[in-house]
Amino acid sequence: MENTKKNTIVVNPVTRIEGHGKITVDLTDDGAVDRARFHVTQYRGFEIFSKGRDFREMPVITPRICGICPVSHHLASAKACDAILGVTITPTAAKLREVMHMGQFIQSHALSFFHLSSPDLLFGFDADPAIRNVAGLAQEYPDLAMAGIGMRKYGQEIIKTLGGKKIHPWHSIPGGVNRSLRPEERDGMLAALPKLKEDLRKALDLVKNYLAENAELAARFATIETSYLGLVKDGNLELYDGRIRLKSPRGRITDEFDDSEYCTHIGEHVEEWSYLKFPFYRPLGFPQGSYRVGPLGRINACDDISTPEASAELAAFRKSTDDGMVHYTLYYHYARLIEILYSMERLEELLNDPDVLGSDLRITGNVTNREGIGVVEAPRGTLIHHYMVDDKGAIERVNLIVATGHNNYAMNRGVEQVARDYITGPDVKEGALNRMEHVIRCYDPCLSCSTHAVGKMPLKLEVRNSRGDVVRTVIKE
Amino acid sequence: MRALVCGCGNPFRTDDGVGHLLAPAAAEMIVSLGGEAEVRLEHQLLPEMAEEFGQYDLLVFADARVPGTGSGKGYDIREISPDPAFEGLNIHSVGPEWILALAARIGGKVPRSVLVSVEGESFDFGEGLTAECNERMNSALAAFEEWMRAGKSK
Repeated sequence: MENTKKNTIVVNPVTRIEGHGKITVDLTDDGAVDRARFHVTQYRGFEIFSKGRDFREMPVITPRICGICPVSHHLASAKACDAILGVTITPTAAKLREVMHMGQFIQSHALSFFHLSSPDLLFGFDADPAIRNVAGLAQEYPDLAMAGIGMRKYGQEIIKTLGGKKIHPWHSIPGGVNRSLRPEERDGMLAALPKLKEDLRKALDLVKNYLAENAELAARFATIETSYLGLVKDGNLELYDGRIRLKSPRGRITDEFDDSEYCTHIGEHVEEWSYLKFPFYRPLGFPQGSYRVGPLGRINACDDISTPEASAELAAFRKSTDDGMVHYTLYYHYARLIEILYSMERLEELLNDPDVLGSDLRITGNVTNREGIGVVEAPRGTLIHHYMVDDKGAIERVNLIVATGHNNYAMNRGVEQVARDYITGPDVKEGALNRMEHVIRCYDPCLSCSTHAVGKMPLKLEVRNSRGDVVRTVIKE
Repeated sequence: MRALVCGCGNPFRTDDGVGHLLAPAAAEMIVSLGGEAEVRLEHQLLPEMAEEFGQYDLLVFADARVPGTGSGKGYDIREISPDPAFEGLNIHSVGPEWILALAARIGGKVPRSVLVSVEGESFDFGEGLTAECNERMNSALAAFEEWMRAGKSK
């Protein structure tokens, strides 16, 4: 790591996110923050070792990238395979895929908000880490903890029902899906929704009250004005299949294009200090073309939401600012809860659609196109799977642009801003460290998607003097 | 007597998958002794499991153990109680005691719980157990049967 004429603070790994990362803060000789960076320090390699595999295996291989959002990889992969076969899947197959997708959104967003982020909001950034976690939440706010547990369980059960397993399910296949939904299963899913919605409403009230009571903090905390990227369908928020839209910081639609055209619009910048690439909008170059994705990205990029309750909540959300574009990073949590609400409403629509109980599940075919691109909105943002195959279907090239990567630039900027606000000199307080971590938690990155995380490391803080000598080390076990 | 037997670990990391083999065998044993048993195989313990514990009279957790950390027999069988102390950095590394504490905190019933842990020999990439771990697992099963027969689960 570069360290010339500066003190450096290292936070390694960042906790309560999925996967491991590291934050370094470089201090000047007088103790001010010179620069802060969020590094992703492990290498993943899926794009390499998938070469030579039959493309039909990819919907089974790629979910192993992640244990939190395997469904997103499963679906993006299946869509890329559909494109290679050159087929349009049946309405039943498309709707069943979306049912599983909504289940994943509910469980993944619930994990992010209830288990990982809400302890910071409820106990405060300066609270003892021993209670600032899901167990502390259960102690002090049992109803909220139960709500989170209930949503997680509900989403996971949907995934398991269709895909056989809660993690790494197998349901989507090239050309469709491999299992139908039984009426009694559908009824069970529908029956549980009213209570879950009620619980979600309470969580929405909680986060809105928090943001109102902490308006000054929310307006400043890691706030960055960026463009926003997300899928839309007829201008509405879309999570499974739509066009990719980029909206400017002031709310102008900069571009909207088919997912198959992503290559000409999205480039990837590389920095030597991180394994995670920096995607950007090509016409603007890097870093001007950086944008944000995920809940805040999608909520800002769309015109509206097609379901009534989420649409009403979106209208309230947009009243937070004069022009309706919300750049406040802490509002990721609010946007995430709106998306859970949308997912529940959308699920209700899908489950009440007769197609969802259909039996026409699969279109068979052979390799028609040597290239396939599949794009879905993963909970953390826009996920792109791009495969090239030979005429027999063996993979020749894979490019994956994972959701976390799109937010890489913004996470770095946010960490730096918070570091400047809360750090002076090498004696860094726990609260300051946690605030930097919380910037990253807002984005809910799944670093195992982007890179690779093996084993468990202690949280390590290193303070180095201007000669590069470590003068202080703090390890959190 | 209704039991939940939860096997934890990664079956693609050699002996880390011992819980996935031990749990079904332990469940079969419980049934052979006249009880009811449900098996759950997981990579890790998750908070949402806590909500379900109240339905059972006995919880059995089957997991691998790092060599040299147990009683010296190669396996350990011990009753466990709720303990809210957070192990490690995140929910990837929580133990059964923490999940029991979570169950208690959300107002759930916490039934009698036992942890059966078997020392692994290798945690490298690979499927199936090493011969050493397989032998320890069989010893652990025999000891667990003894524990059940002695009526300690009642």
